[in-house]
Amino acid sequence: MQITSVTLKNVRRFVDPVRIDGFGPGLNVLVAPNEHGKSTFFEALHAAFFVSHRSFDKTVKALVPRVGGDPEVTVSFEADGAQWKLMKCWSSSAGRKDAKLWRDGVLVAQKAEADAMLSGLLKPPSDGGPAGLLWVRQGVVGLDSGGEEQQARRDIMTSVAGEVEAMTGGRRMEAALANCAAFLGQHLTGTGRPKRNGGLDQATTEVEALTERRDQLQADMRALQQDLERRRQVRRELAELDAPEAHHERAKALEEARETLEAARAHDRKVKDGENEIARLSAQLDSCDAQIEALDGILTEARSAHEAVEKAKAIVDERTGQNDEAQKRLERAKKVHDTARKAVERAASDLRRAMRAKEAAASATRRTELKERIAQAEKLGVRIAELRKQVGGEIAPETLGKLEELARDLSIARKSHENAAAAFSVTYCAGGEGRITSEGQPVEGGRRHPVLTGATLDLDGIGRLEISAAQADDGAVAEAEAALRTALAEAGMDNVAAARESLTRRRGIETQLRQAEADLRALAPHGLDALRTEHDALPEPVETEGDVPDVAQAEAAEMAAQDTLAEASEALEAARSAADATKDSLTRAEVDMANAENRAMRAQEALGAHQDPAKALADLRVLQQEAASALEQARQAQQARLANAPDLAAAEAAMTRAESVIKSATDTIARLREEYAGLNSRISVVSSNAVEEELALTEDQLKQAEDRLARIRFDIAVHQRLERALQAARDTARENYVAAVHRELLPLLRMIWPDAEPVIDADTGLITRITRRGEEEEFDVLSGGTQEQISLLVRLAFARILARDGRPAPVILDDAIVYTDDDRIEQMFDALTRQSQDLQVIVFSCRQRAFRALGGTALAITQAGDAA
Amino acid sequence: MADFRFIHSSDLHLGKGFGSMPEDLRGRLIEARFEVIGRLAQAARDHGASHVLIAGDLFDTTGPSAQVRRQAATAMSAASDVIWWIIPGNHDSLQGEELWAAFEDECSTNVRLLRSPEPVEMSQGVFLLPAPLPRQFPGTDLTAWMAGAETPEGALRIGLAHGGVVSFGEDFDGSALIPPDRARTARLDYLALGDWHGQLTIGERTCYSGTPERDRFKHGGRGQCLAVTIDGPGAMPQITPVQTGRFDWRAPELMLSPGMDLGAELDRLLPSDRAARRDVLVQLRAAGYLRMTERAAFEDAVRRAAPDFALFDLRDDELATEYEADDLDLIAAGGALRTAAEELRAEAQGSEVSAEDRRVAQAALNRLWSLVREG
Repeated sequence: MQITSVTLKNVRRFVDPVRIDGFGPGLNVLVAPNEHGKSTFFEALHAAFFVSHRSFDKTVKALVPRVGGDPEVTVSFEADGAQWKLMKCWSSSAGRKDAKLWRDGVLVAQKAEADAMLSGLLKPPSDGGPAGLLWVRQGVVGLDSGGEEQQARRDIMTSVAGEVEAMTGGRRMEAALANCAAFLGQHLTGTGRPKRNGGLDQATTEVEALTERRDQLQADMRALQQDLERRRQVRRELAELDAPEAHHERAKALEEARETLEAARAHDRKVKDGENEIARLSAQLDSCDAQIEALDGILTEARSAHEAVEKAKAIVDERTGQNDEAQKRLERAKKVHDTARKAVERAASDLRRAMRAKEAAASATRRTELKERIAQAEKLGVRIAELRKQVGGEIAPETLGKLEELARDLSIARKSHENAAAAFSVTYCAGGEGRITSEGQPVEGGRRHPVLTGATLDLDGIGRLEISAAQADDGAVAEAEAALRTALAEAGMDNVAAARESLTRRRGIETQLRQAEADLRALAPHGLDALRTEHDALPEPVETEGDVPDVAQAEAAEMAAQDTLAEASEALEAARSAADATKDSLTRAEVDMANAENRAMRAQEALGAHQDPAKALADLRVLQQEAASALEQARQAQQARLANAPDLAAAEAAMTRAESVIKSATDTIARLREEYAGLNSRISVVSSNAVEEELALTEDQLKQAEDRLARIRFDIAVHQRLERALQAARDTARENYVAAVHRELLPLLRMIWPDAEPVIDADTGLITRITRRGEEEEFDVLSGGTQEQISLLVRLAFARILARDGRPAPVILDDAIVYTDDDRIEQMFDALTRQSQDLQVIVFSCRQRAFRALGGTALAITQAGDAA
Repeated sequence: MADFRFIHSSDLHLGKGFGSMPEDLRGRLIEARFEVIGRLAQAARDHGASHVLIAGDLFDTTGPSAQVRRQAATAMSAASDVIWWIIPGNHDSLQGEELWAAFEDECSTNVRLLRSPEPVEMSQGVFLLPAPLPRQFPGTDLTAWMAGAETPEGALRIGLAHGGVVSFGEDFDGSALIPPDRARTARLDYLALGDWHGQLTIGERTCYSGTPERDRFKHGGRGQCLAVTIDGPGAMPQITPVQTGRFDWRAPELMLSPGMDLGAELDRLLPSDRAARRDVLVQLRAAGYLRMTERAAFEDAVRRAAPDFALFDLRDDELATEYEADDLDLIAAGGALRTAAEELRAEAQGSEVSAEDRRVAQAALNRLWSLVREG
């Protein structure tokens, strides 16, 4: 798009038509002092493109002249290869609102259609980025609402923020999202579940409660209907059962059944009598059979028992003899065993005596030994005490060490004294040796001879030489001598040599003492008292009676006696077993004989009841024949009765059934009457509760609650859908904005700062930091001039985005770089010139001198006629 | 004989709870149903009649509360100059044994419950042939017996029945349809029918009176009864509707399209007397389509008008919103808001998603417009 002319009428101070024309491609510059109307043109031009002719909001009202009138703007421009003219007139009167759009001189749209067609020409680029954002002015914030804000004179960066907001939805987007969130928050938790006590939760709870109530009432209704139906049924059944005809019918059936049953029972009694007679005769016959059989049995048993008694007697006699013999053998074995046992006891006694004698002998030997050791030890004890005493009388080694040390000190003191005194020395001539003497002794030549107090030298052949010396100080020597004397006195010694002799003696005594102590330890390792205790503990010697056998012999004799006793015990056990076995055998034989005698006695007792058993047996056989004949006759008579018998079971069943029918009818009537009363009561109660009416009401309420719940769910779905659409659009807009702006902005920035790298915040869409000369800086801390330069470059980047989309749009600047210094403004002009090579850039400014260097086409505001 | 006058009514549905209505309106509607007893009695007096025929469904259920039943019995008994002739209908059939037993106990002799299908002499020379419903779905034409029913020569024969002549919907028992010519075949001078809540004339001698107090939007206007005059046997009955209802139920339909004067259209449908609107229930069904701004204006107009009425229920499920580019300009000329709006419009007007999703998208777009408009 390229603007070619703008005409205003009734716009602020321009009541009469004014015009700017001569717009060309590239840079167009209108430089004029303040209050000249530049911003008025700017606002009017913006309104022409972006405010609907139907609007009469504060943006439009701000254009109305103080004297009144309908603002009208006419803009000519080129776009899409055609010449366009746009006229808009805003008015408070609907009839005067107008918009017209001509293309190549032909009117192509009016009013709303003109607005819509214009929107199509200005639509944003397909790959994102701003639309209609190329208006760089001091204040107006894109599509923001709020007249006061629009009127505010803002810095340029605020304008950028507003435009980015317009693109991403801005505060209205945030408000809409917040509204959605607030609405959804009334119903849902953060995770999308129904919020407790929220609208959705309450509506759901109400529906559930009403559904439950409805179901309960329906159940009550069904129960009531069932009760009503049951009551009708009970009523019918009662009518049928309780009718007099029904009672009569049941009574008649009962009487007939009773008569039939009586007849059957009478016949049945006769049958039973016959059965009893047959049973009696059968028992009589059975008794005869049994008596005959019993008598035969007794006779046979008597014979058998007698034979058994005889046989048992012979066995008892034989076993008695065997038993006597075994008892004798047992007695003999007992005697042998006693003898052997006594021999063992004697042998054991001898062995014990031998052992005691042996122990007494050993004890006596030990006693003697201990006695001797004790005596020796006691002697050693005395010797040791004596030696210890002797040791105490001699000097101790450490005392001697001290004396030796004092003697050395004295020697050293004396030597020092001598060295400090005057001295002489002699040097003999050859053959003169020994000719000088002192106190008779030749004076040794070649060495120093101290003179402590004085000296006399005899010089052979010469005379005597007296040497006198001053008294030297010998205090140290005297002190050393006193110390030595004191020590010797304390040690009880006359001199050091005596002390050394005393120590030598002491060491000899100590050697003897150690030997004596070692000997004592050998004799009494645990001490003398232990020896004495052991000695005292030994048994006193005892006297032995008679001959004491040898221990080994006693042990051998004792073992032999034990072996003999074992053999005797074994023989005794064998004899005892044999005696027990014969005794058991005899006992069993005696028991068998007793049993046989019992059998014989019982058989004899049984036979004793019959005087003549054979005759008794014959009489019984006669009776048996008579009973069998009577039984046969009785059975034939019974068969005849059974053949004509009525069915008693059937008669009884018929009687039972007839009685049951009456009882059942009676019971049923009672039960039905009770049930009828219960039903009446229940129906009355439920009916009084108006269940059906309550159900109808509840169903209506449920329907209403379901509708309400459906509306809430629908509203939730609507707000969720709206929230998704808004969030997706905002996210996409931000992403597109960041990518597109960064791509186009970078070369422009580097015209000013060669290594500049912008950081664009994805959330706000604004440049938050910029890196220059390797240093990163927050945008907010940049100077005002730098901020506005970056913001202008952002606009130029927008223009490039549009141009790349094939929709080049004019960049219109209204005093956009007021804070930029003269040096930097040259670079900004370079950037503008670079962009204006394929874009139209329109600059309004009051800085006449600075913008003279911008070049481009100079514009001017001129008066125009209405025909424009 | 002199002419015979009576009031024909039916379907009072006493005890109906109106649970689907707002709480504050529910009580008024219930009260209006009860008051109609007095208005029927007054209609009888106004018409010079001493008989009121209730052709079924005096009660809404067979189990109304004791309060409803007792107060109805009391009100009818109190109108002692009127004899009430009542048959049970499908809602309050004779299966409601407790209801009718108690009701009869509570009524005076001027209230006559007709339990059996046999002629009853209402007045000298005037016989009533009732067809009470023994149960909710009788499964047979209960008026069939009337054709064979004998009445004295020269007597008036008036039938009283409850049920459909044509099928009125799923609640009706098709096997129990009353033949439209029953009045002729049964030699009836008039057949008073109930069950249909609107007033309906089946023939010269056969009418549904409709409910005297409306209870739904299906039958518009206020409830009525019929004042009937029969000059004598064979004479054509003179039937006059008498308004008895208090509440006016209206369910107008409004077909909308862009450019209409919405305020005028709405005014045309609604009663001009604002004071009378308090007793008017409106269920307005709006269909067609509107531009986004028009729809908002329409909804505003409805919101303004609604508080005048006892109930104003706007049903706009079938009202679509049409969005033009400049409509979306009102939301945003560009940017993310515009993108979101266009996405919602595409979904609302597209065919890729379900009808419900389209409806949601349309409502979301309207909501967005409202949010933007409210700022």
